[in-house]
Amino acid sequence: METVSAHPRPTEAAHMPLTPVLSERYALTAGQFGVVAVLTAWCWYLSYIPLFYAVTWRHAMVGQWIAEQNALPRVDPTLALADGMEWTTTSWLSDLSFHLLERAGGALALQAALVVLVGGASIGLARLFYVATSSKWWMLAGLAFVLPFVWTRVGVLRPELAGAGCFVLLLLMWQRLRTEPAPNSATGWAAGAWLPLLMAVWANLDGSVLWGVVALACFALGEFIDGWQERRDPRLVARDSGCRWRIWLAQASIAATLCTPLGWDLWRQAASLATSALGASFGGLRPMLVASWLGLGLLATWALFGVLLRYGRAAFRAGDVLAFVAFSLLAGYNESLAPWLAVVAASILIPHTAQLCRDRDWFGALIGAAGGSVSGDVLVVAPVPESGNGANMVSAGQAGTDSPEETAAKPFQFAYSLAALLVIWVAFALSPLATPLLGGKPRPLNRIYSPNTPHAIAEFLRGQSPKGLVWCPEEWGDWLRWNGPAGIKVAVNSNASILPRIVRQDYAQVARADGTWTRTLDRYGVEYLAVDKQTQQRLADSVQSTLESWTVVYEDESALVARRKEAGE
Amino acid sequence: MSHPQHKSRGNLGVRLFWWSQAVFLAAVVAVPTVAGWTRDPRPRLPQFEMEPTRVEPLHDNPLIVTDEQLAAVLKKLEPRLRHSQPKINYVDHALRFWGVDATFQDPACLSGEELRKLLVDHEAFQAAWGKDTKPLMSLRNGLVSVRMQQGNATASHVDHTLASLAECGTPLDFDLSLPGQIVPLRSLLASAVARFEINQQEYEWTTLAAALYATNGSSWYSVDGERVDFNRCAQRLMRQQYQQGVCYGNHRLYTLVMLLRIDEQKSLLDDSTRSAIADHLREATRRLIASQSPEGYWDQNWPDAKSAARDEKLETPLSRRILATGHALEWWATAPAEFHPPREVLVRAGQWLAKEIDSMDQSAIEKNYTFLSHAGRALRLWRSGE
Repeated sequence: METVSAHPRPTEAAHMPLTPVLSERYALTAGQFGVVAVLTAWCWYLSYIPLFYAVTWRHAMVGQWIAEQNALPRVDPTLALADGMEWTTTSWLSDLSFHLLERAGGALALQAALVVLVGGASIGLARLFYVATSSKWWMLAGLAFVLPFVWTRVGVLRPELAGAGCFVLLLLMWQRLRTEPAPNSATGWAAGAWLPLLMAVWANLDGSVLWGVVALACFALGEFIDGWQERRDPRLVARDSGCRWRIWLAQASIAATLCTPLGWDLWRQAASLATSALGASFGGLRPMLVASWLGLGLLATWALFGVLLRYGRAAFRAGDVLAFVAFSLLAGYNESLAPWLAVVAASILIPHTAQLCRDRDWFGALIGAAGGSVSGDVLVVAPVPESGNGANMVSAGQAGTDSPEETAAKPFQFAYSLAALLVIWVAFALSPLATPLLGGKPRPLNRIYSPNTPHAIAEFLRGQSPKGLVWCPEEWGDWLRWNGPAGIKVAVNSNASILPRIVRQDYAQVARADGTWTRTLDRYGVEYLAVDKQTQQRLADSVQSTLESWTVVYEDESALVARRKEAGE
Repeated sequence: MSHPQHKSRGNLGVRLFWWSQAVFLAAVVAVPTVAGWTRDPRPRLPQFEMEPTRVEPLHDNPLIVTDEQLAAVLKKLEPRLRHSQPKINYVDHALRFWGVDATFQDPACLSGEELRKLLVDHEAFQAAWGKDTKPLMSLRNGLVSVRMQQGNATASHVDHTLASLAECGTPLDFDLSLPGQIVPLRSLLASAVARFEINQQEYEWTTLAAALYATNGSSWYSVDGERVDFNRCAQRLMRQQYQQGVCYGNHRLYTLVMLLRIDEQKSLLDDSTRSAIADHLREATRRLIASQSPEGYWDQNWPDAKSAARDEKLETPLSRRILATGHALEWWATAPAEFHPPREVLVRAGQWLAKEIDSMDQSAIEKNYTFLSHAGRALRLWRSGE
């Protein structure tokens, strides 16, 4: 940081230009200001997303259990009918964090966590694309590519969001490692420890660390394949200290995932994904349908990959191709993994697309081309220098990339920086997260929580204190367990995939009001039946019209609650 | 030009690299392999012993049924099943009632051995039911199953046949002659337990059979990976309202009593479950005391007489009352005295039952034989103890 070297005399000072105290690296250009504004607007939007009534609360309850028992659960403490199913959380640190956050700051703290996790991951992604393309426009294009795939996943606070943040960090770290030689000092080696450390933390935050392991395995194997291709002899690959270092680092990082209370069990669960709690946490087998938006998106992504293979000058790194194929297969196995594929695909395809556009002079004036250059046949990503203006690393003259002229010294060179700070502050001040700090009217419940949150049902049940089982829609189970009477036993919740098969079948039968569904409820000793009239209309009608052993004890326009009649009632 | 020191350091790095790759790859191969070997080390069955636990009668109370009344009742309920196509649910109920050692002077009656043979020997079954009838027991996909609820040639309750064999003391190495092969009773028990799920429709008799042969209270895992032990079975038995379940919920109460009795010998349950069962049975007794009719019987509405008694399958009140009263007296006969109602309640019930059975004609007895077998067994148990 530059400082003013001496205090000039008053008469001299009147004739001297002011010298900035801040380094010029903090002087934003108009384009950079635009990026800050877009990301700030995104975070501001995130702060207004109400908390969903499922998932988050189950994790917070598991976290509460962990805090109280000082141990990991061996069965799901939130799901009475799964008390014989061995299960443990693969996201204990996130669960505990959700619980502690909720206890400390209530719903607002959880909303803030959502903003930090999604906003942080978005900023990380932006940097990833920017470093790879040296173009703000391609950076925004990368974000726009990812957004449709992740749109349905970012609105619910879940441990997976922490995992997504870790994944972005992993890609950033690996991107940097690829351009660096092997360290030749203790400091350099220590710097490499960040990656294993990240993986160790991630393994405690969420089971999605498995996807990090997949990515690292692909990258490490890709390093070897690239080295082999380059030297035409696999034995010579090991002579490249940089390659050796990266493979070791990837392997050490994979091994670091053992640093969890689960230990080997995490890997054991990964090896038997189809039947393990880890597999269940992703929803098991949920194949992606081609005739769906996600399926079409996957096809389009592969089509783009084909175009780049056919027309692009730059060869793909083996690790990138392996990762792209692996994550495509994973997304095909379970469509909820599509966001992970989107991130991997964007990180690989966007730089190549940018390069192709530059080579073909497509969109030249509009969005420009990549700042990477072709060395041999492989796209080499230009690293962002840590000092100096971040936009200056691209050779001048490349159309559309951030040019030195953009950030040349100007009298108002910090104007955009100040404006960016102002935008950030205004966004914060206008967001609900500022209320505790700046005051203001707290948001109404229907703005803090999703509109269909079953507040009324939870409140009603609190007045009833049910001792038996409460049969409710799967989506309501988490909220009723969290916000209903203490010790309430709900039949299903968002972790329903771990229930015994017969219970899942019975749940589906009752939800459709099929056959002898009342006898099914008898079998479980159900005391209260909560029905969502919007999604279970047939069941609601059946409860209203045909039951002799049930009585409707609560009803509003969207839900009803029936209680089993006592003998003689 | 390279320094020798650099070169040797480089070679060391290369060697170290290859060795580390070997170790890493070995680990990568070993973890899923070991996980595959030890994928599910959990026991799929409880530990069984060859002979079922004998649960001896505890009581001898001539006020409930006198010697003469009992003799008359037993005479009436002799298993006159030596005819073509005897109902299989009658056969397994009769076996459970009379036991395997029973013999009768009446040539129309099947002895205990003959009753058992009809159930476990395909040739005997075929002789009674004809060659066109599907076998009662068969082996499919490695599991032995008993045909059930598919007409008169099949059993009426899930694993009732198995439990009947267990209650009459059949050892696990006893041969079952299935079509074309012979398997031990252990196979039938193992199949029943392997199929068992804690939330299935009927579970009482499977629980009872498993408990009778169990060595201890160790848990096992269902095909779905659900941990099952006798505590969980007991909780399942107590989960529903009293009148729910087969035979107005009485099979649940009987199995709970049997779990307590077997637990005295095998330690199947933990303290909290024992205590919960005791509370549950006391509550059942309290309800029965409150709902007993002046004549001494109970009906379908035994948990609360204020509600109307109804049973879509049993039209006549007498059938319902024999079912409810006989079953109640049966589980009380097996239970320790601490779960009994005052003696006059038992006496009224026993006397009503004995008189009603005595006054029934043979066609009524044949029609209600399954319920009557519980009633007759109950009355006999009340006179069999010390």
